[in-house]
Amino acid sequence: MASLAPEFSAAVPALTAERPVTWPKRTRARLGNGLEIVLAEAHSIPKFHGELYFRAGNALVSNRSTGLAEMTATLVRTGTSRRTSRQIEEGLRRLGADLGTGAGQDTSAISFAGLSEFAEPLLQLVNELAREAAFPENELERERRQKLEEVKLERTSPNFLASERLLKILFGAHPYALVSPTEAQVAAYKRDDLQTVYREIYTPENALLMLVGDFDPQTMLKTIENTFGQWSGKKPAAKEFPAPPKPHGRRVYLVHNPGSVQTQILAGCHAITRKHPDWIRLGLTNSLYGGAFNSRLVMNIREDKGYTYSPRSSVYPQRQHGYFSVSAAVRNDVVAASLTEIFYELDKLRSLPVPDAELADAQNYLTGVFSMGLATQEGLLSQFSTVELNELPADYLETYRGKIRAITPADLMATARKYFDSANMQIVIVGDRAQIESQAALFGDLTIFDSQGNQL
Amino acid sequence: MQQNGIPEDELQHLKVKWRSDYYSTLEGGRGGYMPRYGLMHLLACFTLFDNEPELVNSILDGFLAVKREDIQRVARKYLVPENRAIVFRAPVNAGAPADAGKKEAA
Repeated sequence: MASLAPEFSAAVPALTAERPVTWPKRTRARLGNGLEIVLAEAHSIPKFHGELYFRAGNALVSNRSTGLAEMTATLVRTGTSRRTSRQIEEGLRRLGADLGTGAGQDTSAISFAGLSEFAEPLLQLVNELAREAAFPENELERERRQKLEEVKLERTSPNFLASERLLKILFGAHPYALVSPTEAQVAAYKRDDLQTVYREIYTPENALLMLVGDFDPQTMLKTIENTFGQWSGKKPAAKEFPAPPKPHGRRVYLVHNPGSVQTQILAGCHAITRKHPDWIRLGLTNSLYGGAFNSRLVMNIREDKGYTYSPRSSVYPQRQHGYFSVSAAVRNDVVAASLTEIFYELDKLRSLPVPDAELADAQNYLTGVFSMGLATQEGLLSQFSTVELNELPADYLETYRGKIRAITPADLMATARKYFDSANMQIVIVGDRAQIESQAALFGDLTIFDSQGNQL
Repeated sequence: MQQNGIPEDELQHLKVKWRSDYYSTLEGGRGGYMPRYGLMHLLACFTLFDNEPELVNSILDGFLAVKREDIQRVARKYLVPENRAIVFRAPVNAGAPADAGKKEAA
């Protein structure tokens, strides 16, 4: 048995050289009705993954009500002129397929995955949902009841209350400020309104069909032409919304959550979209600050001080505007201490160059997870979608790792100075007023709200 | 199921779904950070418990060979009241009927 004694390595072995990525062959096409098609071969399993995207979502129709495109997407899978919701679900099971619908601010989508041998019937179902959704009254009432429960429930979540408040502050009159409908709005959704949204958004001129998987692209293209070729419809007129003004000066917004045993902190400022040339640099800067587990913020307020379990910072790109935010759920007695460290780490990245070894670790991390994310059909689909939907340069993915590697400590400091706008960060804290108000007031002018959004 | 078994077409649909899900298991993982974790996990399990990692290539055939009679036989053997446990979960204030469990088990 002695020969089986484990041997422990004294240190982490050195990394081997980065291997090149073998990019799948991509085929592009556009049907006569305007439908854009991107196909990518990935033969890892005998399946395929797909998305039918529409380049509009809640923002486009936000003047009518909040979350309308989302409710429209929900109803799309609950019945067509030919099938009830039950028949749709049974059809999916017969094909061994999965399907979901959804909408965000800038897109609506039908997502699906299934066996390659059943590509044709699955695409026919997707086509039916995109063109012949029937919006059954009973399904609308069922989804409405469900949504009413959801919007009531989310008001009990500190995370939701914090992001709702932050987006209101950052985006003001812009539709990106509208995170979720009120109960009254959900109660007032009308079938006609959803059908109007459906007719406007779900058109081939407004759509992008992406498929990644085990298929022959030429055969697949023919199937797509046969299935979607007769569809028609124009792109909805694009809407321009005035750019939201940047908030000036650090301010604190306290959402009073009586009896809360911890406090949710969320601080943020305007940043950039994915199209911006600084996007990749900002991604690496964020990864060093609080975007990865071994980042400075996590090491500081979680590992070293134990203030919180899961601090995190992120950069959120939407089509027109992006923002940066940092969040942590902390003990009530360390709200001020946590905010101090949050700003200390932000300002440190603005003031001092990052040591080479730390930069190399962050570069390895980001290029490594990027490469791993390309190993599956789903991962490839998500990367290709990002490029297409954001209209990024055609070589965006192919050049990504090289661009990450080329970033220098000076680039990082310049990026932090530009986007980690600590003097103008807007701070939201959700917790029990009595326990945290005096700590919060140390960081800027204070405004207090209740969980319904009323100013106190 | 114990009395009538399941219809043949329902069994066929289940097998299609099972096959589709098995492929996804191989490819899937713990999010984008650990792709193909499913394949690694199955290789590890088949090696550890069966000393036969090749099972990852043939285990699916076993599932696809299941017959209606097998389903009925297994249902009769294992899905019996003596093997059954029912958990009632209710908010403290609302309170479930004190004898709810007894009635069901009887």
